[in-house]
Amino acid sequence: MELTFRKRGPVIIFNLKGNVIGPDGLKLREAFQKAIELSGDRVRILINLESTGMMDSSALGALVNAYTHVQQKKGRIAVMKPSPNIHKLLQLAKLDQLFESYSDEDSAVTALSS
Amino acid sequence: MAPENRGEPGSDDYYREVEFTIPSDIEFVPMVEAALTRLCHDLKFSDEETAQIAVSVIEGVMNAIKHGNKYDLKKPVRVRLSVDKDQLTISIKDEGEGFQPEEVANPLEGENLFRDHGRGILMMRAYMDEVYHSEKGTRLTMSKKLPR
Repeated sequence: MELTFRKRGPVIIFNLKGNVIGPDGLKLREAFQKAIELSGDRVRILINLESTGMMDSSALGALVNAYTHVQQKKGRIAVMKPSPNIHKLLQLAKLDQLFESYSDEDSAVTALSS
Repeated sequence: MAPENRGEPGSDDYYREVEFTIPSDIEFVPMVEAALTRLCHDLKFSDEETAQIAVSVIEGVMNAIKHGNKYDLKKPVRVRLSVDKDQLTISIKDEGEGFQPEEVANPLEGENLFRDHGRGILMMRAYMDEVYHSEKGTRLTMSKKLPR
């Protein structure tokens, strides 16, 4: 897993590249938690899944954990451009019902910034 | 007991088996994934099928480490990969007290959707042709038909 992040306006954008498996799930969870803690109220998070290979259930758990914490802080969290494998996985786990999904960064940032 | 390997590739009695043991440490999980991915490519599974099989095995190994052996480094996880002329079979054995899979909450129902764990069995059942647990719940066996 290669995890990088940057800020664009009020939105923290996480780029998640490669496979997210085994110990990666815990690292991802910690990265989300740190970002949420440092962001105060109304946190905005966008997760770019365009180059994400495969994810295990621990990685999915990290996404759901972030979703729950963002909701508690009245913030918003979304995913962007999930790769075909990840799109199917989100559907399988019905997590496509939880996460807003966007096809490009500009529209995602605009929506999350409102 | 040594694996019973027999037959020539393509023959009806073809059978190959390899077994390895890892400690109950999740840092070893990517190693299992790498070995399995290589095997799946050799067996001509598609990239998507390879990823799905690998994730299924990762789920099984993670469950064995976390829930079975409870991260006890003295307790090993045994992974056996076997191939016959029709299918790939993976068996994962832990040293825990076992569990009943039917008692695991359905992650797709109601509030379970918001839980940050409990999706491993769902993924294994979606990705593999067969998934079954031993009666005691300490051995998981999964199989996938070979590509034609």
